[in-house]
Amino acid sequence: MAVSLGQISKELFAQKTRLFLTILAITWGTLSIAMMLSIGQGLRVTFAKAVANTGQNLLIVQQGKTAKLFRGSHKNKAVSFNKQDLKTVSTLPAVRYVSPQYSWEVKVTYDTKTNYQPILAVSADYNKIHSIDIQVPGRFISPIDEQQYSRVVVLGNKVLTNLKLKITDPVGKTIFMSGIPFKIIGIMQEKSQISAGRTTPDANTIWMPSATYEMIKNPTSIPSIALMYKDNANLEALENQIQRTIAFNHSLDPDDDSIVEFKESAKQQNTIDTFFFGMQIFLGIIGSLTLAVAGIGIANVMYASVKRSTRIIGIRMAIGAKTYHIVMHYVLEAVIATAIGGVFGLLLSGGLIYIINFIPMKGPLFDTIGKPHPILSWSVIASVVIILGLVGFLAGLFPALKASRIDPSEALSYE
Amino acid sequence: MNKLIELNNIYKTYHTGKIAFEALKNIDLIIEAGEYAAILGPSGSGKSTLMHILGCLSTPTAGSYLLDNKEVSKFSRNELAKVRNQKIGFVFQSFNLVPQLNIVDNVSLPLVYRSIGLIQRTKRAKEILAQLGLDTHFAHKPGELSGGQQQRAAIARALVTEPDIILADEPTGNLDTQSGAEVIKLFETLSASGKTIIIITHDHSVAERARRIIKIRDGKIE
Repeated sequence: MAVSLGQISKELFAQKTRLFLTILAITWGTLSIAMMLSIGQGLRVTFAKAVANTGQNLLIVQQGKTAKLFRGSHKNKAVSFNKQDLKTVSTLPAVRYVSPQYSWEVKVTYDTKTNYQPILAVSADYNKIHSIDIQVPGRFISPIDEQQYSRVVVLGNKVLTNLKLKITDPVGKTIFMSGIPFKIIGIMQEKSQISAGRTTPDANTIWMPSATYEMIKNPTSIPSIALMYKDNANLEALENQIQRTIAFNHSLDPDDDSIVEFKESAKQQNTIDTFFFGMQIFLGIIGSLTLAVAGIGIANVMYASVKRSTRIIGIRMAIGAKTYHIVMHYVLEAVIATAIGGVFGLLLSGGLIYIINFIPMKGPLFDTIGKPHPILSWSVIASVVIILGLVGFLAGLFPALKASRIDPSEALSYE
Repeated sequence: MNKLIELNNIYKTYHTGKIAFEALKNIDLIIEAGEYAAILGPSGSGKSTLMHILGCLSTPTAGSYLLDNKEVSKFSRNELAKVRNQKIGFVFQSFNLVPQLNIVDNVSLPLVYRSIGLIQRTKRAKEILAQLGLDTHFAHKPGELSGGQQQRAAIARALVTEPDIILADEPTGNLDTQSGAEVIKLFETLSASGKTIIIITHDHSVAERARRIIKIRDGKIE
């Protein structure tokens, strides 16, 4: 090797105050950038998970209004989905599962406790569309429930809490909705979620069979249809097919794209992912600036060190050090100090994140999306290491270049 | 005898703002291989400037410098560094050891710049230090040694690369009489072994121990 790492380390560690200050600056900078990136990563992962929990390949089809005149039908005519629409949409090749969505609020009573809760009447496939898992013991609505118009309900995991009820073994118990008894058949497992097409999180929702609802209420239309499309489906083509199918069923213009409205989980997922990726970059930039300030601090310390070491640089040159020996010496000093500070900073960040994970986070936002804990992932560590390496290298390079340009004759006379 | 050093019409001018100062004027000097020469002059005579040019630490403003028949006055910085590492060993008045390193590391430092491995260079440094009576001080840093011991360590560093020339700038200037005498004795031993020794001094008693005295005054050889 052109320089002795051992000798450089000995010289570096012999100047304890300088080394301590340098390491402190880098530790602080590393802590800043690692925490910023980890917070960004945590938010991104939490929101991505929340969106994914809403349902993968989820498409909500909502009723729209006509925008074009077509075969006698006028503009702004409201489109009402019917059973035929549901059936024809379910037969499209790209569609995997389909469910109607009837939503409203209902007065729920258990014993003497009463509260208003959002309710959703859906088909037996809805749990697959919306990634709803049920606690054991218990189950989701079955096709038999639909065939028999069963008066059964599945509760979101927060419904009982919302009703201020403490029921042990709720499955099998009966609640009353608008005075009609319904048997609880399942409780949803806890999950974070951002709803696509709905504002109520699943945790606060009650589900009942759509067939039972239709039998009791005899609704005139289906407000919206939730469906899960196949992994290989072309979403744009599917939306076009749905629009044309609905148009055909209602004798409307198949090219009128305002007769249906779509809400896609994939687009929402992409939008949220892009937003939080941008936020992570923004936080990373702030952290990098902190680290850059630390880097300038190191460069200053290194400049001062070069100034103080002028005579020693002269000695090194007198005994044969070439330009690159001097450059490498000071760059390596800065890189070693940066590496030590970086390790301390990353360890501190890991410790801090470990502590933060114990801090309870409560509130409607956290109930909806889950707890956005910072994540010190390998990608965050890799980013920190790359930025640290760059900062350390540059912080050492400029003072090192200055050192290498010193005239040996003048350096030896330096007092 | 071979001509090891040949200076022809060497000038060295320093500029301070608009003021030019001629530190060396029209220097012609030949030093044969194996010579033991002293460059003697008072303070400000230009002897240190001459030593820096002889040691390739500085290049002349004008003139020709042949070292071992090679014109070195036009060498690049890195070429000059290579010459210093391979052909010249320096001994300074203030020892110029690296204070943070122990004397083994100090002595082996020139070998680092020759890319010699740790084991080999440490072995070589210890051998030289032992020859100079410093075998019980390997782990000591310069600050933990006496002036005489430091100068012996500096001489060990100058010898570790087995250079053709030892250039010593006031080597006894910071030593007591006894240590100074020991260092001069060491130079005489090295000279007897065939090394070319050039001592720069203002001390007549040191210069008189050399086999040749070159007097310099006001930047000119007398």
